[in-house]
Amino acid sequence: MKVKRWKLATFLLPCLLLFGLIYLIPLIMVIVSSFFEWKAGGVFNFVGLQNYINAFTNDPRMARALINTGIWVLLQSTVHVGIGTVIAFMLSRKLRGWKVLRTIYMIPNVVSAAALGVIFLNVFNPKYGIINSFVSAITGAPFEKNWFFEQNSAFMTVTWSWLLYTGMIIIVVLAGILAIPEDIIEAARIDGATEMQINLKVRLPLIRTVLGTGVILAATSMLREFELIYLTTNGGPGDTTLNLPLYLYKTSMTDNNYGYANMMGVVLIVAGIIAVQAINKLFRMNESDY
Amino acid sequence: MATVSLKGIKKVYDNQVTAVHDFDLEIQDKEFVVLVGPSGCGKSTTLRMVAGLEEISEGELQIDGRKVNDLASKDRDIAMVFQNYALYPHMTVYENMAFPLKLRKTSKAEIDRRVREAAEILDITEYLDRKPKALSGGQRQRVAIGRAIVREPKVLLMDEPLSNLDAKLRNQMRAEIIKLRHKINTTFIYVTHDQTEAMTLGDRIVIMKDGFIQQIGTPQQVFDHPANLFVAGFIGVPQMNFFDAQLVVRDNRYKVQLLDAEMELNEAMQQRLRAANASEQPVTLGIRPEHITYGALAGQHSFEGTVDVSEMMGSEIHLHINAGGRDVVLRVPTAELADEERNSMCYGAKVRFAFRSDLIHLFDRETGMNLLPAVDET
Repeated sequence: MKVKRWKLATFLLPCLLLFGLIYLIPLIMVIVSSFFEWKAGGVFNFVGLQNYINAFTNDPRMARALINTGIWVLLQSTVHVGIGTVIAFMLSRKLRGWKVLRTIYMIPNVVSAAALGVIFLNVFNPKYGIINSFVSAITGAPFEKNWFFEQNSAFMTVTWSWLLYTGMIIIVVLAGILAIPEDIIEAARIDGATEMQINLKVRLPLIRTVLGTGVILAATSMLREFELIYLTTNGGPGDTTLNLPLYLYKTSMTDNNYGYANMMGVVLIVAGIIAVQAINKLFRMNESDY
Repeated sequence: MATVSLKGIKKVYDNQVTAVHDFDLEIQDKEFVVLVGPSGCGKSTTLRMVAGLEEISEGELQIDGRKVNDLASKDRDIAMVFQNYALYPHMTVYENMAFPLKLRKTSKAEIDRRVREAAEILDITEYLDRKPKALSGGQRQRVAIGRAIVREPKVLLMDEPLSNLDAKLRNQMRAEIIKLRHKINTTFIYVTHDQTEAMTLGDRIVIMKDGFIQQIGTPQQVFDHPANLFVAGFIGVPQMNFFDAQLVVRDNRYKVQLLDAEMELNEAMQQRLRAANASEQPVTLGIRPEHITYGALAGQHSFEGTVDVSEMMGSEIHLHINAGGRDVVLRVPTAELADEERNSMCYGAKVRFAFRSDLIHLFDRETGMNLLPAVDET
């Protein structure tokens, strides 16, 4: 059926207008203003690449934020996705109670990040938190480690608050595994493969693009992780748990240095594009085996 | 190469539905056995039990004299070809065929030799580097067969392997399977719902319905002496004609009353009916379309009817005739017909036909069992 162009345009216009207002114009403003010194009090001077040069040569906080963000992206893309995949494979055997477990794993995903932050603060509370109480009960000696605010444990504790909660990955990977035609698995069984060999040589390669999707979700979630860190350590102690979104927020809201903050926004966007492209390539997302 | 023995095999699903009842079958070494029947008759379930993909609820399955009920598929030394090919989409044709050998830790040189040999037999050498998605249905099924035969399994199982192919390709592949069978010399169990495949491929056919075996026999046996009404209707195209008739005894000789006629039965039939101690009773008379002659037949009563449908098949015409409200189908070879005769077989035309009474079948009206069973029934 041939549709007249003006009709198409009429239907698309509201969406395009909204997209333009909410995303496109702010995006252009972010990119443009990243080349300006833009601070509270009406300061607005063109500085060219100065913000970028400064950030990458002369800003230890930026370096820390970049490294932390990078580590978290890496951990989330590998360990987090790995754990989720292993659990999905276990659930795919459909042993008794698999649906209940699948739902339980999703709970952290339906609780708001703010509530999660408060829960973790309580769990790791030095005085009455469940972790310390448990250690005290086992050792018999009082144990009052301040997990979130001690230099040697802050990064790990923050990481724990998302690394293990793989509900989304489980759902995505499980759907991928269950979508593999059963006769392919039966063929492998008859061909002489053990369950482990079927998992490694048949199922895993066949969910390649699904895994890629999972890695993209995990990696990009770390490029915008903000609430949990803000609510637990707020980047501290020092800058131990500072990441790029939090540094951006602080630069903009605390230091009122909008130009510099927007430069970080651009860095985040570019990092996101590079990450997604790299993952696309790595997992050959555009090629289908079927 | 192995014998397969199914003794009292039964399959009951968790929901208490019984898919297969007391299945008994002894398959000889290198025999080609076809399980055939309509959808839901339990043929695939039986095959899957042999494959180890379904648990056996009761009974004993032996391969080469060894009980294998509790052995995993991989330890039964069987191979299987699936209806949907079930190739590994992420592997090339070569890798697909090499996969079962790799799992058995066969040496690389041996894998290469066997894969290329199988590819040669199946004429797929030029596709070895392709992925399955770049192949047609027929080529994919060849690869699936290749993957099954490289292992030189004791038993080769095939689950409706030709059902996904178009009619022409199916005929071609059917011939290929017959050739393959002579080349690879193994025991075959083949499942199909297509009676033509069953008749052309099998050394023996097992006809199933509702989880029960209806008859086991060679293609000729089941065609000539169907055990019951179901088998009679299932085997043969177009299907056998059935009529309500009456078996009567006149002067100590059996006769069949049909429509307005009384048909004589030949001596062999008389003997069989006598041996079976048959009494006068209502029967179902069955006769195949090819055993009804077009026109009158010397020494036989002929019937009259009007043509309802005339299907031109090329070498023969299938005539659907309405005779006294009953539908009768007969096959008329076109080679012996003059043009005007052929053209006269049109809708509404009056025609005469006669039954070859030596080729009729009589079934018990109540039980559906054949009253003239084969003497050497297997």
